Amino acid sequence: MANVKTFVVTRFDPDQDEVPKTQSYEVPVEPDWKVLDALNHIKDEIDPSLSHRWSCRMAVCGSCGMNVNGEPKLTCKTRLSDYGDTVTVEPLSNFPVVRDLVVEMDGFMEKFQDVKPWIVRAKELAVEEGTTRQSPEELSHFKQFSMCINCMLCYAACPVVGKEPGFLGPAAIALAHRYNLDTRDQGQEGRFEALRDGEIYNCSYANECSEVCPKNVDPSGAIQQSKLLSTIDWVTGLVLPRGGAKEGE
Amino acid sequence: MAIPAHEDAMRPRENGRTRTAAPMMAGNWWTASPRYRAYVAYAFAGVLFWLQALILVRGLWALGTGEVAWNAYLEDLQNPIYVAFHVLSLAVLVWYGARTYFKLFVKTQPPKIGPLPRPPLGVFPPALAAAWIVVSLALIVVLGGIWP
Repeated sequence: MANVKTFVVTRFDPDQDEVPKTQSYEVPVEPDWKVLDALNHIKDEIDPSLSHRWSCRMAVCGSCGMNVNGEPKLTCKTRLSDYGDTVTVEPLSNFPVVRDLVVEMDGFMEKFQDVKPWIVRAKELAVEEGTTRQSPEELSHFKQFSMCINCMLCYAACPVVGKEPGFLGPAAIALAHRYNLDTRDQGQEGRFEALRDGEIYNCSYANECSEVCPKNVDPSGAIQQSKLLSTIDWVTGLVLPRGGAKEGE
Repeated sequence: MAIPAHEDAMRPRENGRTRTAAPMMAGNWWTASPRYRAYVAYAFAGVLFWLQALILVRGLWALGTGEVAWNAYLEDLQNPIYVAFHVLSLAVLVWYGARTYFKLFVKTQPPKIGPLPRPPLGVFPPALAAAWIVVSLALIVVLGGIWP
């Protein structure tokens, strides 16, 4: 049986509004509905001008992240039955807002690119040399960090991201760590430099990134390990300067 | 109530074609959940440790100045205000400092420690707590003159 809930939704039209405002909608919700179902109902039945991102509806694509009652959530995974009669839906914190519940993602993608999130090889193997093998144990060292779906909830939850624009942020650092732990990769040196340039030490261990992660990636763990490895890399670089010609060359 | 985040938070290096609203963050984020409150309390503990450092610097200065200054410093430490401050600092250090450090330590452990596989992560907090208690007791016994 449908139960009516009030949704207080952030609205922002860049052509008309100076700043975002809120709009309330009365929505008859079914017991098994998620927050995304209610937003789609508003869009389809009440107000077609509402803009929000979504795609897969099964917590895989990472598109539908929003603040629900102030907490970053994947709206396709967030049950309405866990909330009271009034539900507040806002765009993710710490991001510029393009329209209504849609945030600007370009800054996020730039941070990803900074850490070279691909396998870097000093020299590519020739085809006849075969593939680069990796054992299940080696895979297990980084598999957790490769489960990130780029939903950006960790960025919305992190107080440092909101105050330090130069900070790379949780997901990008977790991805850098994922490639640094990959036995096929040889690009650690450049990534450690990117981590230091990306103000990794600004992380003050609020740990909220790991708390809100819907895929249990533990970006906070990746950041703390990367801080340590990055420091070792920096000290090693001081003691054993890189880039010089080896003896006999 | 939302407050402005840094105006350049998560902003791309070049502005897009569409005007965007400024990034916001929750105005009450530090009290919004028990987890945030614990984080803020842990960060605030830094103020106590900073004051502790000032007291120690004063002690160092007194030591260098002479016996009279050193004795005055020791006498000041007997003051109930100093004692209460040290008890508060110890409690905060134990509750927030040690607790946070033990959780943080677990997160920094690599998949392998040297050639050996890492012990289960659940082992670390009780092992660290046990080591901390043993070391504290040893210090009390030795510095307190109980042994040798």
